[in-house]
Amino acid sequence: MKTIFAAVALSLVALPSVAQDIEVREAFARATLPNAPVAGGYLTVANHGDRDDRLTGARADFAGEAQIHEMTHSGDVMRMRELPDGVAIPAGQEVHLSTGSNHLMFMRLNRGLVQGDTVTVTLTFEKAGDIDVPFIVGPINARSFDDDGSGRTAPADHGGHSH
Amino acid sequence: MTATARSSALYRAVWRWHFYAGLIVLPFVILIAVTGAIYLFKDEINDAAYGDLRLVPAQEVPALPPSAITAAALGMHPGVLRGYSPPATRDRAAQVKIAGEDGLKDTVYVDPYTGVVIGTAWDSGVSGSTAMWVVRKLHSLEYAGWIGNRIIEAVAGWMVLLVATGIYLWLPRGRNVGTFRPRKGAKGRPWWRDLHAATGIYVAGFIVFLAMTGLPWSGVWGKQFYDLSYAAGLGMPDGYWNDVPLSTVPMAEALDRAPWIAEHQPMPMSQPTGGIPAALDDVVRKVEALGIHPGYDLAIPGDATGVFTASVYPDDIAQERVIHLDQYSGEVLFDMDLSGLGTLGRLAEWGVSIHMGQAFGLANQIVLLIACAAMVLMCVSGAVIWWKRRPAGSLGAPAVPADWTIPRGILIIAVLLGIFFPLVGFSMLAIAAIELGLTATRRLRTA
Ligand SMILES: [Cu+2]
Repeated sequence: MKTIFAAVALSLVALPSVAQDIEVREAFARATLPNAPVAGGYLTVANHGDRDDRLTGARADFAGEAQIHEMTHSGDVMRMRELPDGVAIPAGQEVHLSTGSNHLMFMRLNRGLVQGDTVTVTLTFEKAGDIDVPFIVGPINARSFDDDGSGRTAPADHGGHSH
Repeated sequence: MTATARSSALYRAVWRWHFYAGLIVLPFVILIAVTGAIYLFKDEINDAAYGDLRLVPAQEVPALPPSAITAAALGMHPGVLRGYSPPATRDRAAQVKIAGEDGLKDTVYVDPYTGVVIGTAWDSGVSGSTAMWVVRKLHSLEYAGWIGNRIIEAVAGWMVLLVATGIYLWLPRGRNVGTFRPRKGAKGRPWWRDLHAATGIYVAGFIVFLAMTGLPWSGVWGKQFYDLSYAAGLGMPDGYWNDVPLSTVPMAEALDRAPWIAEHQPMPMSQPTGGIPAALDDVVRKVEALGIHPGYDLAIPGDATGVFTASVYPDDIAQERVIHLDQYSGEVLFDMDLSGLGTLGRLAEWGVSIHMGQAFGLANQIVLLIACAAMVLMCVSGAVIWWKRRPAGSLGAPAVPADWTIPRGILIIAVLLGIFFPLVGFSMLAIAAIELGLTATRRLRTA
């Protein structure tokens, strides 16, 4: 059932991924520069049920490992740490994993993420189990699902050339 | 006037000037000493306070290439790459400088083994953290803009003057006073006076050294010194740049830090050949093959004619190095180590290195920390001496003699000092004017 659903979701990207009570929408990743070993993943999770759940992990075929990270800010300093216990998704609530806060961290990438592509990520929930979710690959400076990255400074790519 | 009367007039004049100078610069000396003492240990403090950003678990596997580390940083913190500092040791994070979309330059700390971004902080340049940046700005009073810088320059000059007058006052002249330690059984004001004198004689050399090695950065004295030494042929050798095209951007502006003697030297230019910029990995490989000391910073070209600049200022100044590379061909345009700076340039770097507690490692830091503590003690004891002899309700300055004259010896020294330290000269003129005014009003009143 889940596989069928993922297939449908892949063909109709705008459609949310729903498993029982958990709905995942607006999932996107940032495109990577050549050689990038890591990439960030961002999404919104809604819990329509009446029992609390928890996002505990993720995996994807393009990454050797995926972690759930938190971002904390104090003064001018931002710190990023793994959340080994994942993120709580309380009943009846919506949780955002966004570029300025908690997020997925894809590590040991085995290929780059290309803007415009869609990649599949398997999210693991404590109660809802595994859900395959299509992630749109946005521009390298995307801040949201529908951000085309224009109008802001393009990143220099001195780090990217390899000739 | 008899010889005794003349020498006692001289003694009183020196004492009065020591008193005024001390009272005026006292709060600044405390500020300089305290901020200086903290900044001596900036690396240790930064590691302790921001260890979770700066340090990583050392791993046996090779670190990721610079291109991967910078790509990871740009992915998590979009913007324009401005600099890259490879980890100096295997337990340190790589630092990637990025001008973010908010227009601020940030340092992104990256685990060099996994490429995971550990965190970001506002880029505070050579200070390494915002807190140490504040301490540095307070030390040079640049917090108060160029006026602050002028004040600190005057304070540094006055400190030299305080040492000179202080040593003159210290000379025992057969009096029963403490010289190298407080006299036996001294209590109260005499004990404080002895403490001030004895501490002063030990720390005098350090005060003069720290003041003189701090002055090259100052706006008036530093610039004069730079121009004069250049005119005297002691500056950067002119032929150094012959065969590379130069920009109009001075090195001190383009880089976080440049050798003092080269601060006003122009940055070289890259030749836009329509080619693509050299790969970061190749540039890093090249400068490391040239033997640059670990802990160096690599500045990324800011525009089409900009250059890559690798620079490092290790504790061992013999390892100091600045290398500019053409951003397209990756060719070395300029490679300067300490020997290329000329005698004066080398002396300046050496002085700066000791001033910052680097040259002799931990011993250097501890000795200067003690000197800073002694300077605070000088201020405290000086203030106590004044407070204890001060008549209630008045400033308690040593009396200006009714026949206000400046002994000739003092006048000559004062004029010379005033020329050597222009800002001290100006403030001396101001004080002299006040003294003259006081004498005049008293004459009017008694007349
Ligand atoms: Cu992360």
